[in-house]
Amino acid sequence: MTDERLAMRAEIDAIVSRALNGDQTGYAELYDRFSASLYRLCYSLLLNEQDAEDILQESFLYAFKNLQRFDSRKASLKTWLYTIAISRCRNTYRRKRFITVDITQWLGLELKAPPAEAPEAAAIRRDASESISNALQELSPRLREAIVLRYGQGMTYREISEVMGCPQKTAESRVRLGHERLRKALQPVGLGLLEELLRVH
Amino acid sequence: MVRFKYRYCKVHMARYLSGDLADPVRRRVARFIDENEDCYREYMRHREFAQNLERSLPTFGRPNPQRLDAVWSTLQAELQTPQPQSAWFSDFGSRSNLQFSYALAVLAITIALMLPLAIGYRAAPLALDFPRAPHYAVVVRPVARALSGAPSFATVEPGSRGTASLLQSTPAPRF
Repeated sequence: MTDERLAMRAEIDAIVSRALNGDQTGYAELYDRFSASLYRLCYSLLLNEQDAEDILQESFLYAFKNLQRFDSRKASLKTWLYTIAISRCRNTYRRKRFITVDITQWLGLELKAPPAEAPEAAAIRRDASESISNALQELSPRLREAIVLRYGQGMTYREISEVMGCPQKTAESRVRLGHERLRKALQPVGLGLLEELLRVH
Repeated sequence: MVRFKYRYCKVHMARYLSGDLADPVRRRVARFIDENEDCYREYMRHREFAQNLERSLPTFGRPNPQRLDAVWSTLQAELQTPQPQSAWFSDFGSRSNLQFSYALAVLAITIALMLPLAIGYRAAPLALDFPRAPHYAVVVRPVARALSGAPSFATVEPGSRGTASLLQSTPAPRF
């Protein structure tokens, strides 16, 4: 482990200790540090804003209520939080296995773009997001998890295997398979659209 | 050999690009990429796509800060909400929920077993008087004498129990 990572881990351990000693700002700090990435993880897996928010809230509620169970010698707080969130996301896939219709699409509604965004940029952003969303949806849940953790969260294979609860080799092969399927799925769209997404952001 | 090299590269390419391969394997993949055009093309395709994913996926699904604040407010409210149960009961419930369920199940089974004794249960007689199957008796009597005088005919009656009261004879054949 690099020095930078060790320092960050020690810092997070200190915040956890503060929170456990009853300091409310410790909880707020933990939420500030991890909520955005945890939300992105949930959204990338569930592809639904409301579900992602619900899982985010449930995961933090569980984590904060059980913070005394967290053992920093076994795993980092990020890995622990991600494990909690992934297990809840899996429950949601199971619940929604037979109900996959998005009501907003069904009713022909579209989510509004942020007000400051120009209409053209909003259209490009929507197209790029939809392409990625469709490509991710074509992957099986396990492959999607592996891809999102690897490329979306920048985790190492070891961390992915810890979060997904599988051997490291399995995590590697899932990333490889997911990568190939995603490439095939995005081939008709072209990589230019991904570039557009980057440019807009 | 060319196909082998290509397949080898394809299998290890993702880990090659992320720097997760062991030294001997990494060197072999690098050699194949140098030597083989297909391997090189695969490498370039893979690298470009991986770079795109690494840059675009983290921007995918970025949350709205206001929504995150709203989630935090709800979270705070839930964390500060006092438990409706008393401390003793909640502690008991959280620690030994499973044990409590098992204890209830055992209690229910015990009550079910004790109930007949409590309401004056008497053992059923062991010898039950089941209806018996009809008893067939074969009674052989000379009922007629044929020309030769030898054959005789028998009747079989249910429930006769060997008595002749219900016995009926079959008429002898007439020649």
